[in-house]
Formats: sequence, C-alpha cells, structure tokens
Amino acid sequence: MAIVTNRRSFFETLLGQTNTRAIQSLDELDRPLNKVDVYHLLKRCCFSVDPLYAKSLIGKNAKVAVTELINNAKNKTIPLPPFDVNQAFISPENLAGDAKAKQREANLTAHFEQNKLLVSWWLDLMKGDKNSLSEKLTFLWHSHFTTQYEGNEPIPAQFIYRQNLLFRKQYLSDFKAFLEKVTIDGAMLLYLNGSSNNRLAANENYARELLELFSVGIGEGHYSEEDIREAAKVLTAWRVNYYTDGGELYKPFLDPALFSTDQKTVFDVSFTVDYTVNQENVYKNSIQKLMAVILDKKTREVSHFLAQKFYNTFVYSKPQDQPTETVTQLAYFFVSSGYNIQTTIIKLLSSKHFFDESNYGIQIKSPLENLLGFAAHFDVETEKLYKWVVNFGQEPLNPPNVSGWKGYRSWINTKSLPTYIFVFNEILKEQNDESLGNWAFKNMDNYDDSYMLVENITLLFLGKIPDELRLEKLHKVLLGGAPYYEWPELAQNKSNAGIRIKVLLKEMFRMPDFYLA
Amino acid sequence: MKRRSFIKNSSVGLGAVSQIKLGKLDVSSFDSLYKVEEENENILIIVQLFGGNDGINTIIPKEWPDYYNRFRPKLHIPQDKSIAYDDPAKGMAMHPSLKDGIKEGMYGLFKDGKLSVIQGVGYHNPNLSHFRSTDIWFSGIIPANDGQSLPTGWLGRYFDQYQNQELPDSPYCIHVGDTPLLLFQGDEIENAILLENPDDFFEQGKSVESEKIVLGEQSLFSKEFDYVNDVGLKVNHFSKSVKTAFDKGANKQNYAEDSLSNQLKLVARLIDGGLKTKVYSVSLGGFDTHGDQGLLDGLHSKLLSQLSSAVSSFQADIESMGHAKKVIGITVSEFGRRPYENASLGTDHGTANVMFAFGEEVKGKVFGTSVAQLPFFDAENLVYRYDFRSIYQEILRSWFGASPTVTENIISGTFAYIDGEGFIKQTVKDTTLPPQLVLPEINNDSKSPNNPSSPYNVEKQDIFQVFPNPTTPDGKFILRMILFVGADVEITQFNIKGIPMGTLLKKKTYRVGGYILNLELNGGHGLHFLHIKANNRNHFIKVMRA
Repeated sequence: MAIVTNRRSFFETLLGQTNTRAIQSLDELDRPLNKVDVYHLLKRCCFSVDPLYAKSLIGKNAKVAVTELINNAKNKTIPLPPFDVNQAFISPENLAGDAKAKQREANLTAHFEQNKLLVSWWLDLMKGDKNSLSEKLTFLWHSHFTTQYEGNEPIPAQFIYRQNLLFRKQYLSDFKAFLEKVTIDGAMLLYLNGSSNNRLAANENYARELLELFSVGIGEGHYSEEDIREAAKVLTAWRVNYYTDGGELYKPFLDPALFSTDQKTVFDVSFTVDYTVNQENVYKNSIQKLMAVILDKKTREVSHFLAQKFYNTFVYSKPQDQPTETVTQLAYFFVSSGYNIQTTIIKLLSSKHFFDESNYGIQIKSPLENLLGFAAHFDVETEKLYKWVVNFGQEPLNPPNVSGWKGYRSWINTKSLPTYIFVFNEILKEQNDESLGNWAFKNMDNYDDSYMLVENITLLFLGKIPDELRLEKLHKVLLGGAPYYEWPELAQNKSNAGIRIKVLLKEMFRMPDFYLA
Repeated sequence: MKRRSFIKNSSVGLGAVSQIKLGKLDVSSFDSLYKVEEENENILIIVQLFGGNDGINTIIPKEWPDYYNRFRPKLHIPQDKSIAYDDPAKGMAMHPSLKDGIKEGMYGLFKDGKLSVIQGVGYHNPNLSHFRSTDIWFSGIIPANDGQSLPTGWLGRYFDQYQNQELPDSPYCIHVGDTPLLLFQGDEIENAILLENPDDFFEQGKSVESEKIVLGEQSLFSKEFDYVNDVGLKVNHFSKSVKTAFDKGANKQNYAEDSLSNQLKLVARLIDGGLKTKVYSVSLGGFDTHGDQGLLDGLHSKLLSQLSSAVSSFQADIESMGHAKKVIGITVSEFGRRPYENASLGTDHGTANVMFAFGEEVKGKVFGTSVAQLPFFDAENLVYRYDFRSIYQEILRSWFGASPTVTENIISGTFAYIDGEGFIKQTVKDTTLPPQLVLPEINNDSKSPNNPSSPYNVEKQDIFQVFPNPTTPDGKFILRMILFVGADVEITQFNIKGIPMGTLLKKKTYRVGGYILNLELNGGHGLHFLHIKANNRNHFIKVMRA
C-alpha cells in the first residue's frame, strides 16, 4: 500500500495534479475549524446557513461545534401545529347511505387540509432552523421510516404529527428503541397496514418494509420470504383509533384476540407464546424481541445499511454498490456504540473524513436544501415555498412511495434545472433593493471590499468558493463596469448595493455549483 | 444519426467499439441489417397508458358467454355495440371508442392495414404494483425478486452507447411531460429531455449556463459539477434545435383538444420540422379504474376515445407530411386488468394486456387470440402469451438496426419474435431466436370435465372457521371463509332451541377465494348456531358467546 501511495504522489507531483483521494479516517479532526469548515458543517447540518451564527463557530474544535448543534436540537421547543391535535373523528361506518358518504367526505377533507397545515408548519421549522441538527435529523428519519400522509387512504394529520414528534424524541437515541417505537407508531400502522394485520390474515406489508427498507436492507441472503411471513405474524394485533366511539384516541393498543399465538421462527429464532397475551407482554416478547433478533442476527447488514444512510445524508448521496472503507468503519462504530445514533453522528461529523476538503461541495442539493438554503435569507411566503417543493417533487410528509426519495442526481434534470433558475429569479424579484443591501451589510464580512464580498457570498451559496478566474468574473458582474475602489462609496447606499448584488445573484443561479453544497 | 454513432451501435458488441476504425470498414464484420452508407432515420413513438389499461374491454372477447355472465355482468360492452373487425370466427371485437377520430380512428387504421393488435402481452411472475410493474416495463428486465433494484431503462441503456461524443444536433429521446421516466435513464445520465412547450424551453435554454466550464481537477466535486453543467448544456443546446424544428414544422391534420392529442400534435410537428430525435414518449393517465370504470359513456370509454382520436390524427398527419415510412408507435401499459369486475363497478390490476402498434410499417393484423383462449394462472389472473421484451427486441434490431449482440446485452437475453415473424414489416425471421411460447388449449365449457375451473371438477368443500370461539363478551367474532367455487353466501343465526335470531350476512355473491368477515352475534350468552348457505351447500357451526 505504502509503495503505491508514494508512487502516486511522485507522479502527481511530477504532473502537477492534486491528490484528490479523501482521507478515509473517522479519527477526530485535530485542528480548529476555519471559516470554510464551518460553512461546510452548517450546509450539511441545517437547511440554511446563518453567517452570524457561523462566525460564532469559527475557531472551535469540531466535536465542540457538532455537540453544540446537537444540544441545540435537544433543547429546542417545538410549537403546536395550527389544528386540533386531539380531534376525534366521527366514524362513517355506523351511518347509512347519504350520511355515510357525507361523513367520509368530511373526514377526508379534514385529513387533507390538516396535513397541508402540518407540512407548512414543518417548512417553517426548517426555514427557521439555523443552529441545530433538529430539522435535518427529523427529515433523515422521515425519509428512512417513510410514511406518506396520502397513502392508500389519507392518514389523519394527528397521527403524522405524532410520528414527527416521535422522530424528534428518538432521533439521537438508540436504534433498537427507535425500531420498537416506530413499529407501533400510529401513522406507520395505518400506512403499512399493521393496523389490519391479524392472526387469520397476516398482512406482510410492514414486515417486508421493516426488513427491506428500515433495518436490514436489500441484498443476497439478507432475509427470506419465510422470515417476512413469520415476522408478520409476530407483528399482529396492534391497532389505533381516531374515532369518537372507538376508545382511546391516537394511542396504539393491542387487541389480544387478534394476536397470533402460533409458534413463529424468524432468522432461526423461535417466538413462542408461552405468556398471557396482553399488551405489555406482547410488546416485550414480540416487538422488542423481534428488533433484538434483527440486530443480533443481522448485525453486519443493519449496521452497514444505516451507516450508508448517515453517510449519504451528511457526506455524499451517491448510491454505492459496495460500502467504502469509511462507511465500514462507521458501521463497526455504530455497533460498538450500542447502536447509539448520537455518538455515531458526532463521530462522523467531527471526523477528519468529514472535514476533508475533497468532500466539500459534492452534494447535489435536494429541493428543500436548494429552496430553503436560499429563501431562508429573504422574505418568502411559506405558501410559495410549499408550492415549489411540491413542484420539484419533495413535499415533506408525502414522499412518492414507500421507498422514499431517490435523491442524488435525480433532483437535477432538463426540466428542474431551468425551473430552479426561474424560481430563484422570482424570489429575487420580490426582494426590495435596500433590504437586500442591508442583508449583505449585516451578514457578510468585508462588505466594503468588493472582491471579498463576492467571495463570501459564493462561500454561502455555492458548493465551494470558485477559482480565481471564475471569482474575478463574478467580481466584474458585481461591479458592473465600475472600478473596484468605487465600491465602498457605492455600497454605502444600500439600495445601490442591493441592485448590484441582485445582478450578482442572478449570475450565480446559472452556475452549476449553485446546486451543490 | 451521425454515421460514427450508427457504426458504433451496429458493431458486434460494445467492447469492439474501440477497435473499429473509420475509413476502410470490413462490411462482413457487421451483422446489422442496414447498409453502412444508409442512415437509420426510424422514429419510435411510445404511448404510455398509465394506470393499467383494461385490455379485456378494449378488445372484447365477443363470443365468450362467461364475459357477459360470469366475469363482467355489469361491466361488459354490449355485443351489439362492439365493433367487429378481423375474422369474426376469432371471437374478438373492438370497443366502440376505437372508431373515434379521423378516418374511423384506430378501427380505420386496422382496416387500412396500419394497426397491429397484439393480444396477451405480459411477462412471467407479474408484479401488480403500479410503481414496480412500470419500472419492469421501462427497464425491460424481469427482476429476480421484489428487492432487486432497476436503475436503468432499456432505451436509456441503448442510447448510452452514444455517449463520449459531443452532443448530437437533436436529443436522442424526448419525453413530453415534466417528470423524467426510468425508460430513458442510462447508467450515469438521462438520455431524454423533458419537453412541454418548445417556446418556453427555448427561453429556458437562454437562462442556463451555455458553456462547458472546465475546472481542471479530477474530484468528486468536479464530477457532480460536470453533471449539473451538462444538464444545463443539454437544455441550452437542444432548446435551439427543438425550437428550430418547431418553427419549421407544421401540422396538416386536425387534432382534438385533449392532452394526448396535443402531445402527439407537438411530436408530429417536430418530426416534420426535421428534428432527428429517435424516440418520443407521450402519455395518458387515468386507466387505474378500480371503481366506476363506466360503460359506453364512462371513464374507460372516454380514455379509449382520446387514444383513438389522438393516434389516428397523428398517423394521418405523419402521412400527409410524408414521413410515414419512418414512424411507428406502440402503446404500453404497466399491466392489464382482471377478467372479474369488482364490487365497485371497476376492475383490479391484472395481467396479459393488449398492445397496439401503429404506422405504415407495422403489419396490419392481429397477433394472439381472444382472451377467452388464455388460461388462468390463479383464481384471478390470466397467463400471458407474448413476452413484452419480444417487442423491445424487435424494435431494437429491426427498427433501429441494432446488432443481435448489442440487443441481447441491453434486454438481457433473446426472445422469440411475436409468432416467430414479428409485428414490423421489415423484420427478418431469425431461426436462432427461441421459439414462440405455446399455451395450452383452453376449454371454457363450464360443464366439461376438461375444464379445470368447472365447478364439477372441484373436489374441495368450502371452509368456514369462526374465532374466537367462544366469542368475546360483546359477541364479536371473525369468520374466515374459503370458497373453492364462487357462491352466493347467506348467514343466519339460530339459538339452541332452533329459533331464528336474525340474519348476520345478507345474501351476497363471493368469488373463489379467501375472505375475513367481521360479524357479531345477536342475543345473549350461551350456545348459538350459524347456518351458512353457500349456493346449495349448507354448513352449520356452533358458536358460544362468552
């Protein structure tokens, strides 16, 4: 190995190429964070970067900065969404004819309207979060444990909200507990038919996705159809209620009559029902035991699968056929930490690998990252943002199907790219020149230095600061023909500055790196 | 199609590409059907019918009593309204909507010898989820299991061969719509552009970065940067040729004012304007008719009417423009629908669908038989006759002139041509291909001992199971019912004295299959009897209420 590296660097020195192989190591970064590091960290951890907050992190140790982002997430208070989260619905089942259809219609309308309010609620939270990992983490888990409010039947927003709260409560906990709780989460039970899974007619939908999408992942020998069938039996009998006459609202419960008392075998482990069938016992001996078995028997698969997810989210979203060295290391770490999500995320985000410059700017931004990353700085109505994220195919709480969003390069195609340019121009049009100038004055270092100002704006909005040639081009765009030494005076008038910055931003929308982070 | 790209395409396998030198070419090393000097200008139109078109009501099994009585008592197309076509002895007729449009619509096209009707297209072990089955049709690959990922489309893989060159004048493929299709997805990039309005597209083309920016590094960053840059370049580059073709072309026929007609109208105009795109895809949605499929003025009929008028206008237009020799089209749909109608006056996902091919260069005939001649492979679904990949294979080899090796690579195998001869006129028979699948003879006579579905041949009895038994104190229980023969089922309750306690299930028709019924006992604690009547069969079950 050493010989090859030396030969390579020898030739590279000879040919003047830069060594672009990233450091594989998950060892902690041992230098304080500089400005570029901080922006990289915040671009990956938040939906938009607040330059003033970024300043406060410069010079800090990586682990300290990351821990701060995590603590801010933990300490965050989440406001209630603008609808009754405890609303009980009238069941249409006991009504007849017209009244039945009318009630069904009323219920569906309420579900759709409230879910839309919930999406807006979440967009506001994402837009406003500039100093914690909370929204990115919540979205990571939402994309992993997928649930669509539209589903086959729309799911009441009260359940989707509770699922969102579950993600926020568990997002830094241990993965085993997470799996247990998600399995009997109301929205999940409805979405993947757990709520109609019973001993006579086991519904395999959740069991399949539990293995295929949530824990083990697809692969040769990962699980068999038999495992899915048996697991489905283990998962029988959990129900939820949201009707006025159905008992307790929104809290999943076990219906003992529907629980399969058969002997089941999953991954060669027996699940014998030699206990009284009640909620507590079943939770312990079926749900908790099943998750323990999955993690125990499929340790390698689960840890790699989840490590890859973390890696895709925070470092590079390109799908990999084989796990890289770093992902493998992360997987081992995940296991040895007891599947502790917090420790593992901190490890990844404060590592030399994460802060290797060849990993900066390589993520193709998703619609949420693109739109919020820009719009959060300016005055943009959430309603408009909502319309646009739907247009670009990333409505939160409503992924296209159970396997979530494809991501990576699928976000940028011959239709979406020009549409982004159009949308960003629309946003810009709405901004007042003076307020734009004030924004730059308040947030950007070296406001009076036209070249540095351009550099700082590119650091904020582009994947990386461009090379000298391209920066100089942008510099000229900002100045619009004026000499650079006239900038400080020109920029004193914030309206004029705003006009020039608008022209600069318009040019930046066309650049490929505007879509990278 | 540039000559260089054509040659690369027709070579014996992709690996041989680097060995081909231009200039002196050894013609004998080619196994392509096209002479080297000729350019392949052929164009394919793909008409997607999203949702799963009901082939059984499209090409109706007119002479099959079961169609009217057993499978579609409410949803059949009346015999006297269906359109006779082809040899009536084959027992098929067209849905009346297929006569809508210029020159009697698709029916007229068949009369003129410009429509192939391919019955019973499907694949082995069909997947009945929209999402997955669409992926299967688009990728041209039958996955080994539900988890196997299908990342590329058959046309995406085909046009991947033209990479590593400058952008051609025209986009290889155009999808008229705003969402990319897996169909055109290649290994690294998408091989189609998304187009809705050429004027808008032209404006958008001006807004993107029009130059290739060279970063001078080889890194992950530069790879992703290049990808985004290239997408912009494509928009910019193709927006110009598309606009030029759009301005130059002119439609000569009338089209209806609906979405599909507008899409095909645009395609015809671009073809007339000289755009060299090879594949255009257009689509019509709404075929997922689980409920209220409708009859002659219903949902499905309206969709078929749109299809017929759009396709016939398009074909007439292409002919008037003089391009008929080089344009053919096919319809595709992710699956068919089941013979049995459901309880919501609709139909559910099924298999073995009809596929149409239109154009002067397709054979104007019917391939396959009435669906009456297709056996069932389970209680609900029909066996397929033609593998859909046969059609892809023929298009690649015969219409686009790809070599057998390249084709085999792209669709992972070789398949029979439809009926050994193919549906495209210029297809040459190839005895090295596998033979056409032969289906067993079907006996549809319900009384015949040779008909496996005949009730007379059923040996098993219905199964009824109650639990919990004793029921819960509120008298609720589940009845599990398995019927090996369809039946009218009625359930009444009696107490131990034989006194009727009410009807738990009013007479209802059930098909063959398993069911879970949620029922509730009347009366109080103690022993009760359920009398279950299934057609003429009587079952009695003791149930205890706790």
